[in-house]
Amino acid sequence: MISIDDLCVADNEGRRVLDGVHLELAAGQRLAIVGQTGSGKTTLALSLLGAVRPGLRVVGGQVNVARDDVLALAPAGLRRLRRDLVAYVPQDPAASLTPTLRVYRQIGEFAADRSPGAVGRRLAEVDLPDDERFQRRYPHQLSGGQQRRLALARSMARDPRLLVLDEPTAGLDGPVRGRVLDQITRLVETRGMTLVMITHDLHVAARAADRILVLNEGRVEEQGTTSAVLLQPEAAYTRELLAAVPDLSELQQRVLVDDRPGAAPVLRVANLVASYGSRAQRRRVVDDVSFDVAPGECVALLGMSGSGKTTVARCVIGTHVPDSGEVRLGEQALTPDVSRRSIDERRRVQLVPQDSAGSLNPRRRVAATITRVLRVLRGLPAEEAAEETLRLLGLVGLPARLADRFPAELSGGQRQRVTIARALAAGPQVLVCDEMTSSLDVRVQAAVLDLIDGLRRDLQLAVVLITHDLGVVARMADQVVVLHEAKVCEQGRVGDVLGDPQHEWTRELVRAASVNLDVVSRP
Amino acid sequence: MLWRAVTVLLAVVALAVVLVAVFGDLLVSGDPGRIVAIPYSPPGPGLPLGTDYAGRDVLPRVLAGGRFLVLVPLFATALAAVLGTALGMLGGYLGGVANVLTSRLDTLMLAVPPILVLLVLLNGWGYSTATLIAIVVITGAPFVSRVARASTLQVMQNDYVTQSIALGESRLSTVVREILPNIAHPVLADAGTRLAIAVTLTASAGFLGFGPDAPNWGAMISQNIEGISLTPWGVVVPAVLLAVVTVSANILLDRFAAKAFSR
Amino acid sequence: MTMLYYIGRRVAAALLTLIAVSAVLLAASEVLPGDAASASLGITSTPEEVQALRDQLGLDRPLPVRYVEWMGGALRGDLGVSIMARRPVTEVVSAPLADTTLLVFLAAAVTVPLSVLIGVLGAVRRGRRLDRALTAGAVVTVSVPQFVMASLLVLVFSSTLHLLPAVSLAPVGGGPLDRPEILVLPVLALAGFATAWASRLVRAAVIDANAAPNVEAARLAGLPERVVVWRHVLPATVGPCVQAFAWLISGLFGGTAVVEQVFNYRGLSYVLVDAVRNHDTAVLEGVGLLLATIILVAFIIADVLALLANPKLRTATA
Repeated sequence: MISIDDLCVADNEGRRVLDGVHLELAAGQRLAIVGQTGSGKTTLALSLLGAVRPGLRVVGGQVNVARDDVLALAPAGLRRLRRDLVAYVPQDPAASLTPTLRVYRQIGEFAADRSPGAVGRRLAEVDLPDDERFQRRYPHQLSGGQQRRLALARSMARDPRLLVLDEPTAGLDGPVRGRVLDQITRLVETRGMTLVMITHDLHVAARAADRILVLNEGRVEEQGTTSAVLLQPEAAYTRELLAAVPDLSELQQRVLVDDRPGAAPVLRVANLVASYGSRAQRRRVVDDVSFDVAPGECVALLGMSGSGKTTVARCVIGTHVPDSGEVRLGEQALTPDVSRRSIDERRRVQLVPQDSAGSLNPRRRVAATITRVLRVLRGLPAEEAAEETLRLLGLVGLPARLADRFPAELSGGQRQRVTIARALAAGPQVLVCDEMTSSLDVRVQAAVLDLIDGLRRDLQLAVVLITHDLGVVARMADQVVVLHEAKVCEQGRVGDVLGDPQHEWTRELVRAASVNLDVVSRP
Repeated sequence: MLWRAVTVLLAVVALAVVLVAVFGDLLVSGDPGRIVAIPYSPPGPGLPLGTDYAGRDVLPRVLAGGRFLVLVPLFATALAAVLGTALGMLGGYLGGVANVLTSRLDTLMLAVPPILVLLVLLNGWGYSTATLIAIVVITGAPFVSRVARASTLQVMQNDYVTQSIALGESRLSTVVREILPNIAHPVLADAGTRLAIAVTLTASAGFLGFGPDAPNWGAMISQNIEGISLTPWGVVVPAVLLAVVTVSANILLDRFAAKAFSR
Repeated sequence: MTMLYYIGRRVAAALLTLIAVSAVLLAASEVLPGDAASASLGITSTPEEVQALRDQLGLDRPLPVRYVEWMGGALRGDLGVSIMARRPVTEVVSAPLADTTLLVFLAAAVTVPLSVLIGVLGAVRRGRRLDRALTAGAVVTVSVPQFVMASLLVLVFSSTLHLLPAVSLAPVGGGPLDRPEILVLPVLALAGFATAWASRLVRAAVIDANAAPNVEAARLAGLPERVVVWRHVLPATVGPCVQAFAWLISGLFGGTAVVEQVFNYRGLSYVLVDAVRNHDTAVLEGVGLLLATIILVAFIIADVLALLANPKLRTATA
């Protein structure tokens, strides 16, 4: 079905984005292209449609799909290939729907058969309502999940023989992700289609693909059957990647420290209730959440998007004022609103944010960012602050030469380290980490998690870790608070909660995460 | 290479014109209001650009007629930029009622053609330099404020603003240190257009016949246009100079903004 | 239902804006009260005569009272009396307003199709030589004051090429349409500036829409380019474009104030400039109110058109 031979793609500066890629795929097979951001996986996928993003160009090699030499096709031939043979669903499927077209037009635009009945059947295939009223809706009148499925149905409307999916589970977590993958696998299997999907997540590849291709900086590190790649990886890179993926089984390898007797909690969150929105639409997003964190302890707040975990973080930091409940630091209750907190109160609780790019002022250099905190929160004189800045950069593993850079000149992992250094500059007792690794590649993520873990032990920091990833919880946390729809559904020591979940929702989470890499048993 | 040469040439011309506009009257000896020949005389010995509708020498009037049209708009635009930025940031940062009020105020002013504001204020306040400055500020500041407010709202979405208080900053230093540097680019990118419009408005007052009978490029165009078929220089020279000033004000400020924020 | 609500809100907002504009207009044009009376009577008048006229015009009564009376009159079609002409303002302005509006609409009729053409062309050829030339031309045209542009047009087309009249005076007892050739240069001067300005916005809107992920998806799905452009790109540009064209109306009315002077076209510009020179405040206020109304109506029409082009707003349920 697909045969790619020595494909090379370069950018304007001549840097190779893809370098000598070989790929053979038989009809009916399901391939996952696994790689980190910038590995060239989207470029590789688009080459199957004969498309190259602006700024890139093919410098060598051949791409054959069915019997077509894709890169040599004239525009008319290319249109025929994309119309009849290959369908592509981009990373954000909802954005691929033109907002001025109704549902039946979205499908009918491609389908040979445009009768309402035919459109309805296409919709039913992806579990969407098929009635007339639904067909007359516009994309914005559908839920996010419906938009996703509509985009899938749209790409299937021409009965393509090859389906290319770019990160089909981006932005999804937990049980929802599993359901989406199952639906895709079912569709592809019943139609006998060939599937190529791009993902950065080895769990996704393990669950939905029978072949895996590992891409790193434009080069193929390894390819083979799913079980071969995951169970007997040959390339060092693949082994590193596998080791870095946090997963539940790590729980068994960790020596869990029992409750520290005698250590008084430094942070106490008690009966926290918080809401968003104005009067009529006010929605409770945190409902009666309590937990304690002792010095040197890591408490994880685990929940899917919308569970209220980030709001808890905001209440602790003071950027959101709760309806009731209190946050105590040591013996004293914190003022809810951060702008009314004393400088010392602000100093003692610090945040490592989710989006490191957005949390650094793009017009300020790294050193200035950190020095400013030392001056304002710690009151250090200029000279001392400059020295301390360099020490902190070293502490988080950043070379001193980066001090004069602007955030845009750093990689994602480096930026995240800067935000950690900035938080440490305050000399905090409590560090709140909000999904800090969710936008990082697994290897970088592993390094950042190790850094936080080390700091926690060395500086006796109390860490509140906010995450949706059970693997991260298993690797890092002493205690875990499981949040579901604003409420705590279960909390306790991490070994107890994840090892023997009591609540139905926790059990579902653990089940969804347990499709881990060791249990790939499909042929 | 050729493009570069053309750009340099254009910049040199623009600079020369601006220098003439600002310092030209230092080259003038005697009274540019003196009548020297019959009206609309073509260029001749001692009269390189001929005479105007009243029989006055065009050249000294050209040399002396630009300073006002460069300095007043420059000052007024700077004032409009400062006021507009402050107002826009205030609305954007405080949000809620302040945001609604400032944005209403802007649309209010934007609904009226600037030239109408010019006429109304000339009627109400009489002609003076202060009136002209007020006109430029009143018509320009809402545009600046709109850009500044929109950028502020966008910048406010970023964690570095929401976090800044927790990192020990006051509200004022958040606005000055975190927001201002990040909205400076869009505001400056728009400043060239604002300056060009300010020059146009200031010259329009002269063109429409308001103000003293001092030399003024805008006024020269309307005064001499009836004799354009007799001698065009009294119209063409001030018109071209004015065009060079406005075009270069627009392009040069744009370039400057792009350069300053190229990172 | 919700659409009517939305339109109603826009109209209400426009009415509020109009009330505010008119109040500012009245306040700003009368900061120097009394001058109207003395200017009307000339410098030889005695203080007693001035006072008598002030009483007659009601200039000594507080501003809010006079504002309410003025707006009340405006609603009945009465904009007061011109001090200079000693005739109702509506009578003084109606013919020039019609002539100026003619100029504006002709210029808009040229500008709208031309700017769409140039804007789309620039967007399609983005970054190529044609686009760069169009961009440079537009920046220059937008920056040059309109009366400068108009004067240069006179120089080229009248005094050098002798193709068109330099002066746009309508024949005695007739309107500008009786001698259509006098309209060509003023319309050109107005439309040149407006086209340069609007084509930039059209270009930006098309480039924006063309870069949207749904358009890339449509191309990757093998749809013919014609379908991609008409069904996926252009619908998204309708909103921004009609908004730009509403601004155009405001800009064109502003432009007529100077362009008419260059060509001696007897429109509102002369009425306004004379009014300012003679402190005929009632005329100035009346014209200001009429223009603000026309511009706000254009904005409302644009809002409604943009609404119709956007299903998200059209079907909103709140």
